[in-house]
Amino acid sequence: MGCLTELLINWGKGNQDALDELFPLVERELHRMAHHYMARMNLGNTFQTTALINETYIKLVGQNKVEWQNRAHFFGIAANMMRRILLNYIRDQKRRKRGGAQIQVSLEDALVMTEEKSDEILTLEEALCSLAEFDERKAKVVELRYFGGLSVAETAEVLQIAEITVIRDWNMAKAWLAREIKNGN
Amino acid sequence: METDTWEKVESLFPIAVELPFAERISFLQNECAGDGQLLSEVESLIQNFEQDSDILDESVFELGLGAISSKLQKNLANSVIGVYELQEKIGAGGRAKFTKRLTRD
Repeated sequence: MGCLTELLINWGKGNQDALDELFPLVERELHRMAHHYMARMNLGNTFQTTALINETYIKLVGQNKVEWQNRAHFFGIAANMMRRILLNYIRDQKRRKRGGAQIQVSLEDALVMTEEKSDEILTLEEALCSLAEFDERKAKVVELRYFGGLSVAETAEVLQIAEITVIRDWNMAKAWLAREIKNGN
Repeated sequence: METDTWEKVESLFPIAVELPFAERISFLQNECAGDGQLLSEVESLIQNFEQDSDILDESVFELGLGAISSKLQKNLANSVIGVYELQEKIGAGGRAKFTKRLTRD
């Protein structure tokens, strides 16, 4: 998969077309990751999200080629994609329910996510978009940590900022979002 | 909010949030120097932070993986593989998934 590394490097150099090519590749890997995740869950294993993304990344590019900066880019794209996937999933679920066919929402769907959780994510998404309008970096920190499951250190690496800045952004974003959500957006 | 007010909030919040209540009040009054809007904004954010400090603490990445997996299984059901048509998933065990199947003619 030298191709992925190349695309990550090109994207890092500012080639936006590389991003369009990266999305399907990352999406495929997320699908593979999902299979892997469910298999492990069925065996009763627990694990860390970050470890799983890391493992996928290493498999993808080969152990020897792992460069921190490329890995950071990959993490960033995966988080952004997960945000889209989750929102599409929730909206799709709601649409089917509104269609009057409650029965069409399968047991599996219910196991993946409770309705309460779906609503929580949708409300957060709306507030997060408002935050992004005047403080894009804080919104990005939330995307990486909440949707991407990244640690403080990894978030710092993806955004090329200090860890202390990530912690401060994270705390302030949480405070702002909590208030925005309480005020009903 | 005005950008410069937000920038001031940004510089005061991380310091103020760490201070004990009494110290925080005098720190903020001193720093805000009569700017009531700034003072109430920082205080309001701190209050929300303390009330909902656990907001967003649980990442939804794994939920996302579950969602992808559920969608993949749905796509797999009703698909045709060779002479078999997969209809619905009826159970799972180990690494295998068992699907009710119907032999097509």
